[in-house]
Amino acid sequence: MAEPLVETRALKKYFKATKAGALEALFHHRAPEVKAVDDVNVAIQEGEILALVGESGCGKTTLGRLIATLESPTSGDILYSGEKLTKSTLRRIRKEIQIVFQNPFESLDPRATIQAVVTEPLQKLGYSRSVKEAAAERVLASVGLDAYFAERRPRDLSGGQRQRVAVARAIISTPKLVILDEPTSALDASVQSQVLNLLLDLRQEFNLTYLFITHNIAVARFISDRAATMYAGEIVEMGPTKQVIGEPKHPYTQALLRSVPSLETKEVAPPSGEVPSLINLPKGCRYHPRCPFVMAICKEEDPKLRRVGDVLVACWLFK
Amino acid sequence: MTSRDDSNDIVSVENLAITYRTVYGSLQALNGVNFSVAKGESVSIVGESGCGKSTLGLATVHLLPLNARYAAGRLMLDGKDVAKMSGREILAMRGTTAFMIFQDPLNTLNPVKRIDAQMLEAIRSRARHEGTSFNEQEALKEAIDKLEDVRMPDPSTIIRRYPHQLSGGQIQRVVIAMGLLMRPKLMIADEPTSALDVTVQAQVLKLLRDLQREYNMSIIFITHDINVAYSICDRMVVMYAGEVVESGDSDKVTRNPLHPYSQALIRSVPRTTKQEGRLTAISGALPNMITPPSGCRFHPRCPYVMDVCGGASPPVFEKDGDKVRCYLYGRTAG
Amino acid sequence: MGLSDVLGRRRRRPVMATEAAIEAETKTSETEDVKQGARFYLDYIMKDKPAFAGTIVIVVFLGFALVEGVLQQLASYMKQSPQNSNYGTLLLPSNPIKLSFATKLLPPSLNDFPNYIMGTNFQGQSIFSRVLYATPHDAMASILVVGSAIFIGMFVGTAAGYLGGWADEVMMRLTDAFLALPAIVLAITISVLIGGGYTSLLVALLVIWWPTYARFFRAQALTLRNKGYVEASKLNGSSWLRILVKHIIPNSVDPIIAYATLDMGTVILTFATLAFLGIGVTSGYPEWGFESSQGLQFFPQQWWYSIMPGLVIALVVVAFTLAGDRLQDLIGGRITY
Repeated sequence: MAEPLVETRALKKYFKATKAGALEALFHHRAPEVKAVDDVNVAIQEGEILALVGESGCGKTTLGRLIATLESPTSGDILYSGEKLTKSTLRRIRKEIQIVFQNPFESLDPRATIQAVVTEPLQKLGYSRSVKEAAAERVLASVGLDAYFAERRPRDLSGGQRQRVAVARAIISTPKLVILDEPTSALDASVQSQVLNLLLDLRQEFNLTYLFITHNIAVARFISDRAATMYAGEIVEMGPTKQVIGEPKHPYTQALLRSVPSLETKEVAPPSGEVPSLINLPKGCRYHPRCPFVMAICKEEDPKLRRVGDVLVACWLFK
Repeated sequence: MTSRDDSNDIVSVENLAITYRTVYGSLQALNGVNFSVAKGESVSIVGESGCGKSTLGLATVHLLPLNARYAAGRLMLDGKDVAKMSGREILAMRGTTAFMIFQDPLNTLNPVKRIDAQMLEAIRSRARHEGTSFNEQEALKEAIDKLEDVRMPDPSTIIRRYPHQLSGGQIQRVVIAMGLLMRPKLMIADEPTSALDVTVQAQVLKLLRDLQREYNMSIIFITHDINVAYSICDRMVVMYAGEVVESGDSDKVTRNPLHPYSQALIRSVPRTTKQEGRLTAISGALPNMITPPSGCRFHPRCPYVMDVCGGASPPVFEKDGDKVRCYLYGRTAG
Repeated sequence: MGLSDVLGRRRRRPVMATEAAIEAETKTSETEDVKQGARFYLDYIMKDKPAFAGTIVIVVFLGFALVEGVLQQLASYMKQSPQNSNYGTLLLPSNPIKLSFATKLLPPSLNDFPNYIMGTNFQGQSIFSRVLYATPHDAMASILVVGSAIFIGMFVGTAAGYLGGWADEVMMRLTDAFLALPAIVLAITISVLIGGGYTSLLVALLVIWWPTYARFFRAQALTLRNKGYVEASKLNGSSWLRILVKHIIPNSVDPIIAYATLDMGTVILTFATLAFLGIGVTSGYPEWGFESSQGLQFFPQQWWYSIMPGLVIALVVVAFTLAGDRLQDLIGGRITY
């Protein structure tokens, strides 16, 4: 198998739950930690779209931000085309990564013109103004916006249009990897489909690789080649989308699918219980309090990802 | 399906038009809306932002903001005209006849009062309306019972907590429980699950469905997600740009949508099952509600647009038991 | 890699960019007629009568102060004697410095309009003239103090909020220290320590004024640093300084416009209060507050001597408060249209 574009090894990100003050530090009191990302190993191949699926608090956004280099890991490594991410390689690696955020109303500087917004990634490269203008026009056309928008400001645009601008900004420097954090969640249904189609077209045209983070399984199904479900800071299932979402093996992925209302099934069948607090995780498998197939070992040991056919599953049901 | 028996309706909206006064002009939020909910029926209103679905919900309980105007038509709630209700009647109506739950659970409850205090307040208020006595012990027991009804785990502990100590799903359950305490005939839910996780949403949806059957309560469920709408209701009403474009039995509307907008909406939503190719997107953008398009408001984006569509607004036609507002199904008022 | 690819690639138009889609998109931006920026604020001030009146007073106050101030500077530059007619007295009904015991302690009247509308003081000078003469000092105080406080606070506060860590801690404790001390006492102390007089007082006021703005900008920076466009900028290799200057500071400024307007009134009031106590007063220059305190000896028989300067102070401060309050409502979202 070719070297992955991005690879994480034993990646951990723990946040401090409360701010430790001077007195507490004096008494070596360890602040409780939010284990947002706990020992995650994931690889993204060049040219593919990997969907990271999960509910709020599962760690998918944190994992996305770690890979985007917006957060630094507590421990573990991230490798980009084999190169480890360190303080010295950071700047170089960042040039190949771009991000599209969820909230179209906060991801563009309200005081900047659209042209300034989309050409910001080009700032340090020494291009002249006219070259930048031309590039802005091209990239806006690529996302389906007329050149007229270059002089406008974000407040004149609708949510869907702003997201397109965010996408334009992300592709103008033709990065290798684009991380999309719930890019269509804040958009209306009709606009969502436009943006999703656009993302597929752009991937084709510019040979991009996407890490697509979403809580919407149907969207993940539509857009991705491979999918990974996360629960309480860990990846519980990962593999080709057709299998992970079509025929899920992990009980959580199954529960997730049964919870999605669809036009095919009249009723939903949600799992019982709630997502655990990331500070006080259950012992053993983190899903076991809610799992219909729970066994004795599940309460003791947390299963690791194991290969089962084409997918990786972290569940004691599969030895 | 023949014409409905009006006396069995808890909500009856006839030709309702509501406008908002804004700094940009008069915003036509609702235009000629006809809509009814029978007793014990669950209806969902589906549409994108700006289609007027929230306005319709708020209008039913007289909760519209100050700059709203009832421009035309009637809205009858349990036989009374909402627009003409006196202040007293409105207070009596809210909570007892109709109860509303909103999208953001954290803002619905008072953050400085415990759950038990707030639930007891609801019971006290109901006792006042009904003229019955209020006994704190009994009321507390009733509140805990209601929390069990909404499938809240460990209700006696939860009830002594403050809202910020509960999760979003738990708060929605508390709000639903409080609503049920008032024994309303109608519950209006405005995107109550949009801010919740997938599994929590499924739990709340299942709960609402079960409760609706147990209490024989009418539900108006407002949402932008057609999948959610389908899973919760018997009848579906599709709105676009302030008008009802299609309404009918939810199975019929989703399997065989008549209005081009409903068709496009259903086709543009991704599925969890395998899909080939691309999503059929709806071209264009949502219209400006200050100056909406003439005639049929969807006509600038409609793939089947005809000359007549830009003229007068199409009347409502009936086909196979569904009502649809589209010239594809007739020429003159049918 | 990079731009050459975007430029060099043959532009294959994706399915999305159909003519119809583009046309539909451009049509939705139909809100061009809504005024933006300064005109928007002006429009809303005008809708509220008191705020509008306040704005008029502010404009007159600042306008007159500007002209009068320039004239006074010119006069002193030309070494003209303040006792006689000079550039500084061109716009005034009478000379505010020249002694004239014949006209001392006259009550307000319409004689020699508008010279005696506020009466005269113990030295026979028209109080109205003296009040007008002193205007530049108050105007300059309000503009300089608030302006400098914003300038200093902007850089210190934004940097502290954005960078966090030690910079933030140091700044917070520094502002804590300044804010903990009683303002008036501190102003008096500093002013006296650096020599007394007008400029010393301005410096003292600046020292006690800037922490509030620093805190304010810090709060804004804390909110803004999590915004998508700031993070995107970081990813695109922008230095923290560039992010501060291009993204954070411009987006922090809007809410303080209203507060700053209100604040200018507060500066004038504080300045007048201190002048009342004699702080910051240069001999021969008729500061508003000082005039009022002089007039106390003659209260209540010659009430106008004390009251009139006070009324002027009140008028100007209220004007700033009304306009600033209205702006504050607008920005704080308390007004719905």
